Amino acid sequence: MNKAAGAVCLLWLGLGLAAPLFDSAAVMIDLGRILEAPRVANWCGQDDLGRSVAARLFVGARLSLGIACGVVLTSAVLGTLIGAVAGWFGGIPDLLIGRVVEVFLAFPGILLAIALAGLMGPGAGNVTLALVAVGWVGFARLARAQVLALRQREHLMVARALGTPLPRQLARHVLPLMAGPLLVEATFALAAVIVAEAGLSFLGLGVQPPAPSWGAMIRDGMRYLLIAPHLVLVPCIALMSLVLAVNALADGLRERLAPSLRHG
Amino acid sequence: MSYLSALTARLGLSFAVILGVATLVFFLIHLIPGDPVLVALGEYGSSADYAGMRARLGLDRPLLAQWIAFLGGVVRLDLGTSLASGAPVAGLLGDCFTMTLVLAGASLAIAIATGIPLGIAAAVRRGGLWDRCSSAVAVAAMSLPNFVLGPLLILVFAVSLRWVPVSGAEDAGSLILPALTLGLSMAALLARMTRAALVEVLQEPFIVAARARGLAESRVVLRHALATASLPILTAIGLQLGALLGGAVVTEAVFDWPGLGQLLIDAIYRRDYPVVQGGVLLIASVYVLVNTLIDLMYLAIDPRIAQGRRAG
Repeated sequence: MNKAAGAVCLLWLGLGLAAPLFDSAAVMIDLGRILEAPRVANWCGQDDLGRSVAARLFVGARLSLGIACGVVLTSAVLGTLIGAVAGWFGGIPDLLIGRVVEVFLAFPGILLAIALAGLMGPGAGNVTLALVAVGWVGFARLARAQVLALRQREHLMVARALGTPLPRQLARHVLPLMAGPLLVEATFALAAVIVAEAGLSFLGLGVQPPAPSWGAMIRDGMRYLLIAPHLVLVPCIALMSLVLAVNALADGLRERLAPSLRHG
Repeated sequence: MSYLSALTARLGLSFAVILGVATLVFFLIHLIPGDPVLVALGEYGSSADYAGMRARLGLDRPLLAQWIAFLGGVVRLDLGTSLASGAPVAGLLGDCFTMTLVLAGASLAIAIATGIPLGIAAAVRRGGLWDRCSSAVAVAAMSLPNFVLGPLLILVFAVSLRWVPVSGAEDAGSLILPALTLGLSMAALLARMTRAALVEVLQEPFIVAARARGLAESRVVLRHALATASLPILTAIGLQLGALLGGAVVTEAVFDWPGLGQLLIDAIYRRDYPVVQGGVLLIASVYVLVNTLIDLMYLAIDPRIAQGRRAG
């Protein structure tokens, strides 16, 4: 199960990295082959402008994974920093940050990202910003809880008693112990962000054409559902396989690195 | 802590959160890079249009005054007028909200009617074939975004089988697919939560005692165990209502369902800021209110919580 999931993730990562090879095919319009159905030699068929669906899928993989990694990295750093400050200092900073977190959690799902991405206008940069605005909260909550628990550990009391400077305490004695849970959270977040980015593109609020985002491919394919269902099926299957694989990977990591997070 | 002070503390927290949400929603329009009025008018607006629209949005006043006016409007349920149609935003939201409620209610019904029985079945025969299959299906269903499940359901039930219409809300059958799309992933999660909660409760001594008294297994599970497990299940439903409301936005776009989500997306395309602000504020407030209600139900169901101890 875990090996299969890892293989699927690696496959998409490889295809995403190889995307430059498909860049020209992804935009090459061939009006003679409009809506060509999949066949053995061409699994994914051609789209409504006769472009290769496979090439667009691979270029879309780069886009999707690129944005998702960017969002998760940024939210992880930002959220961990904010959560660690709240957990470490407690008192008023903790109270303020706690209230801000509550406010962000009051927006269900990707509603806040929809509003932000919609109002800021489309584009990869704005989508990333909108998703970070939603994504940092999870890391902040995790980091706060972890720091709060770690602060009481003996090795930190010793470090403090020995007069270790604060940055060194955090870098050497807190961060390594938080790394496992954070990595698990980041992997789950990766799956969630891939879905959210595709969702924004599906709503027309993400990366704009001709850039082939998976969500936009599903949206465009909906118009041809009756005559060319492969335009919807292919990106749907791609997205499902990637999201399932990343989630399975996160599950496996959790069992290994942070079994305590199971009910969190 | 007494019951009353627990109640006031909870209500105060919700009020503070809604105030924060309203503030964030107010600032949305100010967070847009560049001038929102210029963006909304496009290239063809005259300077008179520009001044007029700034005045209509209240952007010509100091920020603090705008903020107070916005919050004051929220209290009076006056969310301004739509830039596109000139109609009051509150009225527009009200019309669409009913449709979203219908969709969310139907999805919730599907989720409860399928998720809880499936979870009970899995918990009773723990580790069996049924348990393992259902948990694999549940994981898959939870990974399935609405905009993937929706088109797949359309493909099978509307295009191939022709049982229901593809989209819209003209006849009763058109509710089925959107409700299924929104309800299935929630059913999967509910099944897992029900299973987890029941498995834990079924190991408690009072269950052994009930069995020892010779009660029928169905009575033990349904009356004794399920009643005790209802708190975590209720929590799961409350948390999922958020996903339901957020997911409704996307699902409505898939099926052209004329609800809040559709209104919100249209307003975003038209740069109709007051409608966007009102829609986001309404959805978030409903979510906060529902979760407050569920917490208040806890207080009523489980007296330990008012004393500051969480129910396990």
